[in-house]
Amino acid sequence: MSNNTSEYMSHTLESNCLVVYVKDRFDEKNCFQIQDNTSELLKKESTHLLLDLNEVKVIRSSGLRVILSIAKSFKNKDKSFAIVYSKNDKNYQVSQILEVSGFTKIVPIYPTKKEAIEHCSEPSENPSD
Amino acid sequence: MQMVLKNQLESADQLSLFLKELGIKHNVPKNVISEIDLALGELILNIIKYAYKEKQNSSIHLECNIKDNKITFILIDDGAAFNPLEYKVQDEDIPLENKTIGGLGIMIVKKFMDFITYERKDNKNQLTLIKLVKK
Repeated sequence: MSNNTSEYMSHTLESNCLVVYVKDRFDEKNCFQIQDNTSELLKKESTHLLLDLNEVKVIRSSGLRVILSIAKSFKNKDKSFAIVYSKNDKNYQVSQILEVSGFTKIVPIYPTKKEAIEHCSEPSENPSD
Repeated sequence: MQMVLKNQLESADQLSLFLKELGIKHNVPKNVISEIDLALGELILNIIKYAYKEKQNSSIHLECNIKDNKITFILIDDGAAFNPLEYKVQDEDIPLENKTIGGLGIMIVKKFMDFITYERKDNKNQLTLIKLVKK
């Protein structure tokens, strides 16, 4: 498992999954940096991608745009993209925005990293279809 | 209650604080405050990004009135004319391949606010937004 941190995100690599943990916010201030860093990491190693939004307290449509762009880039890949997120008192804005925008229907969301990794290990399945 | 927001990204954080205080003062449920924050935040960021392309020192005025279960916001800016309600909102059920990046912000505004009107008055954009608090 590798581990790396920056002001806006950290990541680990485990079981052929790149796990990106977004910190605190996912908006104009950091979304493009997160997108760029993530695609750089995926260039180095082609893996599944899990975006962990559990620590996100503030999210705006710019964060959604990045999620949409990532989801589209995975559409024709043999790798999976999923969100790891479980609602709590601090991060409920994430579920409000994901539900209202219909994103819960286009990107698989797992409450735990373990479940998301298990899903990625399953043979050829694309829940966004 | 009212506030003046500067033409900068940090204003969205200022708005969040203002709304949190409003919620505490008037006993508005947290999830309702959060929905208002998501909607007004999109509008303010939109104004900053598009209405003030050439103006550096402009400010955005936000007024808020609470009566019974109705919270009314009036958002005024003197940037370029822009009516966000003219934007077509995409259906949230459309599949991934047809979903587009544009219009997500206004979709959030329309979904979370109960009533929205736009006026161009005295060279200013004026949006009136109402949120009904269901108890």
